[in-house]
Amino acid sequence: MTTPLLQITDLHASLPGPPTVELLKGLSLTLNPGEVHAIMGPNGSGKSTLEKVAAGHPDYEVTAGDVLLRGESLLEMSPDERSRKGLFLGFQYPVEIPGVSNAEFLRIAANVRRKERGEEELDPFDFQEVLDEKMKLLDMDARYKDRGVNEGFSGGEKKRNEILQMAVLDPAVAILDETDSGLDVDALRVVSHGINAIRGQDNAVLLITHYQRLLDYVKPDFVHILSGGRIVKSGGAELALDVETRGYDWITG
Amino acid sequence: MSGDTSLTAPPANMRAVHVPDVPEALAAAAAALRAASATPALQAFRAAAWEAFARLGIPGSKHEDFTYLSPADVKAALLRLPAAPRAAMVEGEAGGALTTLDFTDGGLAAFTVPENVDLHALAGDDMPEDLAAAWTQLAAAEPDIPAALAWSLAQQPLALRIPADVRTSVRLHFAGQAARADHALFLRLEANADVDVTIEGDFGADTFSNTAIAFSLAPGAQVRVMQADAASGLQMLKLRFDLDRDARATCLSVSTGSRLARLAVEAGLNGPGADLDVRGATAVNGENRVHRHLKIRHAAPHGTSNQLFKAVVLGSARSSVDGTVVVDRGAQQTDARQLLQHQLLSPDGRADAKPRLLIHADDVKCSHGATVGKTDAAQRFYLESRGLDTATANALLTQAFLGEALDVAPANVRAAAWETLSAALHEGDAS
Repeated sequence: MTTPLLQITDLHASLPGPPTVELLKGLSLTLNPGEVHAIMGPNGSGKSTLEKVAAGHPDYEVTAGDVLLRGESLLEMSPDERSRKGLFLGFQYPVEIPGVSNAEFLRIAANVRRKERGEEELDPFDFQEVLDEKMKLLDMDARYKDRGVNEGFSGGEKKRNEILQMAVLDPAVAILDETDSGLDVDALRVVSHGINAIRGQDNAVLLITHYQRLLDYVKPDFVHILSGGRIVKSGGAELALDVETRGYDWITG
Repeated sequence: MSGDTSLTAPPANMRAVHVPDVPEALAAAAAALRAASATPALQAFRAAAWEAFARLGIPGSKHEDFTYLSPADVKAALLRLPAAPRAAMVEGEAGGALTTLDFTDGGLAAFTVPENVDLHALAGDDMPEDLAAAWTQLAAAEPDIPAALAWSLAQQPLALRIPADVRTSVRLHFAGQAARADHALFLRLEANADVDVTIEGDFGADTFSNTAIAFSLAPGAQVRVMQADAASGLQMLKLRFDLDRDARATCLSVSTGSRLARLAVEAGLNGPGADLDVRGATAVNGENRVHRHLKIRHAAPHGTSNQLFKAVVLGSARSSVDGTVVVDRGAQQTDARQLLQHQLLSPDGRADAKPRLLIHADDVKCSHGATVGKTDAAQRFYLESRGLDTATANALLTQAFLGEALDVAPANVRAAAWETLSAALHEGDAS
């Protein structure tokens, strides 16, 4: 039997108070190699919390359940360890870091992984080739290399930059939080093309989205509806279409 | 340059000026220096500067130009006695592409001057009258106490004139082990001259180096100053910029501090369209001190000024930035920005920032701000989520923080500056 890449079991997580607010209330989800899953749900259902908890954001506290990456629990790991183990988070609102060049940041992040795997680190020249290839995939202008990380990028450029990072870091599991928000149709197509190019039989992708339109470009194998901190319905790609036409009320009651 | 060192008579400016709190020995030493002046111009200059100092006096504990410094340290440094006057000037070389002036213990030890640059000494008989007059006027009105003393006590006040349309580089190096060394320089850039200036120091731990340098820019002239504090000693440096129409000055100061490292920048945007960009990048650790005092005055319309000072404080170190922008009544359409930022990374460190705006015109854009904080938690989490451990993420954020101030410099200067700053940031890491 194949080991799942990501296995979330009965996950409970809270924002410590006072008052303590429980946001995830028994979420379970399994991503096998080669699969693309989409999580949809109304505002406040816990979609972004799931991503932040998976990433190890210090604001959240896990009170029960587990998150396993290739069978190994992530919960005791620091955010950077989780990343080096192969987890990637595409943020809804990527932060700007003026003064850190995008290319240099990506090279450091790529080398951290290579070091972890016992591979030789890439010097700026070798990394340039890797970066150029990935930037071409995302139709990104060379000027984004030297600018500060996300500095002065438009909403769409930031999302494109998230997918560029995903392409460079080659994660086992990518959780992409509302990557489609703020994108016009052309940018959505480019970003989707990037995600499709990266997805493969060795990795898995979890798309968190409000809208069906991303799923027109990145076909999910499974769609889950999150409500009240747990998954209340799962189905195939057609479930997203149902949500688009009928809303969430028929599922969440 | 003339080496005329003969004493000239009569001593026209010899009247004693009493300065409260100044010991007789210092006043006598200053008077002796004035008496030994080789030319009337030098004597008049020293007398004007001493009178300016006499008006200002020694700063007390409440003096707002020295708010964040130890009054006792400042007073002890300023009251140190100057060395006895030197009689002779060193022979330099003409030619080459670069002007270099190397000072040791307050005296000019070596110099080179290209054919297209004029070097004049106030002690020499070839000092142009217009330069001497402009400089003396400036010294007479000097508002900065250490600078007034530097003008008064410098052994060899020197002026450089960069003729119109000349593009050149100037390297100023101050070194020494003496208890006190005062330096005075005046750089006149004629119309459209374009000059790169580097200012560096290398002092003994107990040396007090007190330097004043004035830049006078004719219309369209440009100067880029890259200044680095020495790693030790008591250092006071005043840089003054007077900008005529469309003149541009950029100044980057890099410092890791020392027992006392004070930089005062005073700038007058006196002609329409003048542009000033003053930056500071400081990384201060251990017991070191770095103080920056800025006064920018917009006196003409359409001027632009930018102040960006970044300092990282570790250990028990201290950093302060005290910056004032004044916009005169007639300086409409001024665009002035000021940002003074500290990363305070240790519980025993101290960071002070005082941004001030005094606006007397009604059609201007002025922004100012000051921040003191740690590295940004959201930025750190973002980097960690990409696999960088906390220490690496913090180091990158600190580098980025300082890097913003450095980006005004060419790549080689940035690299050297970062090497210096990085060493201070990692001081004590191994222990």
